[in-house]
Amino acid sequence: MRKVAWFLIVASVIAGLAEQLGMHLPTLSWAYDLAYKTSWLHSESGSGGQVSKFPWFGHLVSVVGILIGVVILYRIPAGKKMLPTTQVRLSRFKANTRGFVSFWIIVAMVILAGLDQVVVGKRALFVKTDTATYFPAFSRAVYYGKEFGLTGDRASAEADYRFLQKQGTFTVVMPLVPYDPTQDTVKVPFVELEEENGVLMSRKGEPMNGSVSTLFDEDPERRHMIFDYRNGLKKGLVVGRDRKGEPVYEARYEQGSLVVGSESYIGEDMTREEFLASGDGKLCKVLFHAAPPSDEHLLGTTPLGSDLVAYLYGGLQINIKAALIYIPMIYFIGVSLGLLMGFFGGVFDLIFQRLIEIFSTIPFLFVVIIFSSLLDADDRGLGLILLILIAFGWMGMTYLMRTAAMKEKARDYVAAARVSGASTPRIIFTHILPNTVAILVTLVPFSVSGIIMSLTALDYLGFGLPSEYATWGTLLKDGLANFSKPWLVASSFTALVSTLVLVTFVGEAVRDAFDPKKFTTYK
Amino acid sequence: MRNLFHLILLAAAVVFVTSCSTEEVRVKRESGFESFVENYNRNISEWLLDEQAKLNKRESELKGELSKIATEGKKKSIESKLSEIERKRAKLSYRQSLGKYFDFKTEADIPDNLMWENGQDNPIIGDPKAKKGGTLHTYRLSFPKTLRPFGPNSNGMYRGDLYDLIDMSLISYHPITEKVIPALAKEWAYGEDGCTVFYRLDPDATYNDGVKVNVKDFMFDIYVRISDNVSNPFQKQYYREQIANVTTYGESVLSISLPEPKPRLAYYTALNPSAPHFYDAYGPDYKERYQWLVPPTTGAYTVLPKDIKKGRSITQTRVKDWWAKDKKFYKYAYNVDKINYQVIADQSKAFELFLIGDIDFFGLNVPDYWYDKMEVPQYFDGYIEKVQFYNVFPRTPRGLYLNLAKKPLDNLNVRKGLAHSMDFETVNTVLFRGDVERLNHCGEGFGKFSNPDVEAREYSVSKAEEYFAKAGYTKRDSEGYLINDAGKRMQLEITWGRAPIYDQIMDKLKEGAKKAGVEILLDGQINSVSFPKMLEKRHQAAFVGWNVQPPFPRYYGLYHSSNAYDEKGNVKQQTTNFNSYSNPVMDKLCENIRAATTEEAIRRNAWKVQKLVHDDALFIPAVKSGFLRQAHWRWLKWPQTNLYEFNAPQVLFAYESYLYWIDEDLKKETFAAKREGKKLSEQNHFYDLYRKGVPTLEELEKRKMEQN
Repeated sequence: MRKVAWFLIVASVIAGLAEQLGMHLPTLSWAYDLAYKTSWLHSESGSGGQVSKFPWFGHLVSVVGILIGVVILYRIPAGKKMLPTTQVRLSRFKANTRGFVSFWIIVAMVILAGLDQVVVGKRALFVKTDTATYFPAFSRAVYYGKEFGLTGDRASAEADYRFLQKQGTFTVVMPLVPYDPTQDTVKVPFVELEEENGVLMSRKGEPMNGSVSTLFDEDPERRHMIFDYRNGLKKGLVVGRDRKGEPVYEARYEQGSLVVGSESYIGEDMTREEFLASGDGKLCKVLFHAAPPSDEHLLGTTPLGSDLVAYLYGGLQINIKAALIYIPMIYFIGVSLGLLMGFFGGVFDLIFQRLIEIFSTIPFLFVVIIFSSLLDADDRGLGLILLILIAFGWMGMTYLMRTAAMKEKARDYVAAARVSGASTPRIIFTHILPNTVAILVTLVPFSVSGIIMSLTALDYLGFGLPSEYATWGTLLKDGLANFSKPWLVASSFTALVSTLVLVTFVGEAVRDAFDPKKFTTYK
Repeated sequence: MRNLFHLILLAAAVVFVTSCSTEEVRVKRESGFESFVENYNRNISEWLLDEQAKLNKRESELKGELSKIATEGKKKSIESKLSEIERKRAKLSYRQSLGKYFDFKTEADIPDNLMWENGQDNPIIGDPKAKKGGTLHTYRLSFPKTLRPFGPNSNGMYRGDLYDLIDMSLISYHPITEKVIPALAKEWAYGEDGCTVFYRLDPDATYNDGVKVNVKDFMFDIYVRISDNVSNPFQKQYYREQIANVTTYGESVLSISLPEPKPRLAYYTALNPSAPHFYDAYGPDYKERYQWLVPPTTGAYTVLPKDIKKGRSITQTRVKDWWAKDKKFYKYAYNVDKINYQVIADQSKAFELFLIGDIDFFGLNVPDYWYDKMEVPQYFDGYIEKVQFYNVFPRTPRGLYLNLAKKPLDNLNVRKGLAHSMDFETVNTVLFRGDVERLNHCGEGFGKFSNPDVEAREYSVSKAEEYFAKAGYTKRDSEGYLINDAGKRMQLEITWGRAPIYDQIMDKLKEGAKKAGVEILLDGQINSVSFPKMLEKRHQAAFVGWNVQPPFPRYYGLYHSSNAYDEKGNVKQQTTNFNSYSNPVMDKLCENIRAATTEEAIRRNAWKVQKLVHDDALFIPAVKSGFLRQAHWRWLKWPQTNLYEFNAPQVLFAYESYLYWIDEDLKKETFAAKREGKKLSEQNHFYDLYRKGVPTLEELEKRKMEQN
């Protein structure tokens, strides 16, 4: 526990310092990001051209982090022993190999997700030009193309580091996966095909069947001639496009050779011969999005043209973020209300039970639709979805805690506490709550899988997060609509199921560890 | 007990017999047509007087206002309103001069100086190689809610299949020359007033049950549609306001007048007939009584009662001895004997049925179907052919409509900058595989009414920056977005009705705009939320596409200021001017198009509108596809002559022309080849004869020469 406290303090201090230095660190700077993005979490000062934002929310989170750390350090002095029951539970949990290993895998996943732009992102980690060095991924400032000598449309847009790396003028170190999860359309991949004895071979080494193109300037998005190949030979219609993408040339092939008199050309800028010679002449298979796995994109790409590895990673981050916000919130609301209902009973209990009943009959999807129509576009997103999920998610908890509180309050120790003059809050939160902790802890992992499922389901139905968020539900939906592209459904399914299975294994292990009976039989 | 049993049997028998006999009895009613004619004539003349009184009142009000007001701008607007009143008054007095709405005269009353035309100099339609016979199998996603041609629920997909595309009206238009050709009328002539067309019926014209078509049947058609027996407000208004007079002259001639001159007069006056003998039980219970009855048709196909299999299929049968079957323009059309519409609720299931040959053709406009899903042996082995056909049809004006009532969109430079920061190139290459083209302006695909000189602003970060700089957005903020001196970020909220492809387009636009320093806020909503938001003009930019129909473009609803602001200057809600655009020049152009009496006037003004919309950067056009794509089994044949390459040019779906035919021998041959595993050559057709519009007849004739 003290380690956690120290970690909190150090992280908060680093985040605050980094902000002062204009740096942007993975995960640690998250509170500051949120503060900058959300209008009511920062304040603006200055006027005219010199408006500066003060991310007070970020600073607040840092200060709160430090405070919590200090409080924990104070409350749990060094060398304080764990309660014997807790020790027993911990050792029981460790003894459950399956759950224990799953737990560490999840921890590893969380750490990996926390590394953020170090692992996945389109901004370079490090760029060295002749005059200066840059750390774009860790800097709050945005660098533009012109600073690296790019010209044309690339000059005023944010620097395209992948392009810089390909250019090779400067030393550029990119993250492990050099793509953003969304809003970063990658170039349509293509593979050059080779001929063997006059027969064009596919990537698998068989005679080519299907569409094959030649390109302008090796740019797969500017196709010159689009051929059809059957058994490695040109066959049927060929369409030629000019640089603007307009089809201007048309001809037919039979058994690999041009059918005499089948050519027609309607281009105006150049003659037919010039047109035919204008491409780069290399035969390529252009793999439109969603593209299959290749060296460049290990799992392929999504229909919107994101790298699939990056997309899955983004989805994992969203799930973890959602769980980290959702779980504490619903437990805080559910547990306090449930305990109060159980402890006080009577009219209080009655009113809240009716309230919960009313709440649970409101159709959830309609609420999502209505809220997203009421709010401004920039207020929609993970925050809104979580808020609605929390608003509807705390109710299940109350009934469990109510029952537990009812049971516990009749016990002797509660009576004893009361006789010795303990106040009601003290009885509820320091006497009853710790005794119901078994119920809570065993439920947490299942709530985690619940929130992941809810998010996925919402995205699958199309009422979830906007497209700038990477989500597994969207990927699953795309995959089911494109069975001919199995890498989509396979990767989303694997990611989703393995995460849920891991979480469930941990959940079972925790439940067994907290079970007072060592041996249980399922009937 | 035994008695009881007999009693039950007897009762059952009675019920059975009586229920049979009710089928037999057919209620004959007075059709009510005669009394309707009288009443309607009186109604219309009273309504005209009413309208006139209203106009007079409005005029005196306006004149009163004019004398009080001094400001120049207001004066102008009132004066333009006054001239509009004058135009309406001329229309009313012309209508009053015509006399009764429905009139019956004799042959002797036909004006002598008419120039009768018969359109016989147009070339034939279709391919003389067409064979008659066979059944076309296709599918629909649902069964119709009714088979009536009008009345509640009749406005569905099947209306076109069963009536609109089949029924003959007085005249028709030639698909290549776009000139009038005869249909039910053998000859026609234009009246001197520029509003009237005279038609002489073809003496051969009959319904499919052999009854001759009478001139009064055209009036009867109006009667059944607008009488109080059906609720049909739109058509009631249409016939009251858009048609001025219908007169018969003896047995075979009738004239139809519009309230004011219009180009393509014949198009707007070509009415359809309804057979009075079919409506002999017409009454207030029309809706239920005629629910599943198909009226006699003058067209080539009808539906026999036995072919209505509720919930499962409908089959049309070609009329034996169709009266027009040997006429010049109809000889080679409507070739198949039967058209069978199966109900298949699921598109992917229909595709599977297509692949086994149970359905003859399948539309492939979705890129995924055209490329990936068609990679099947049936296609590789040449049994199924793929077709890409460039059609001539108005292109949906889909794109971003910028709301000028919202800051900073009132600034022209901002709008131009935004137009340059929308990356429709990536949309095309990533989402459409480079197959579609950029839409250039708001009126494309109208043939000569589309301005060829207007080109959409291309995606260019540097040009966008230039315009934004002129508008005061010179710096970039910490996230890379443009800001002006007040620190306001360049933002654009786009509202649209959600659908997978539009969501994907918006995602790409957002990414591209960020490079140009524009933050796009995505406001995708379900349609029932997003469209009202646009109608209430609460959007910044609306991504929509309007449904447009040939032959003429219309701009009054989209750009006229009366649809943007009310008299107090507030934004007007529930109108389609999504730009909140108000410009006297534009108003004049829109009014000119409305009042145009010649096609040339429409063309001139439409070109100016399209140019002005572009110059004022009101509309950022998205993409268009200039073609339709489909796959069909090789026995389904399409015209191939000097004039027709695959199809008639003005079709939205290939089958709409009815110029195809089925080659039964080829069908047998194909199935035999499939059984034996014999491979044929693969067929992938690319027909672009009409890509740059329909060529002239001379050019087409020459094409033949070239081919030979």
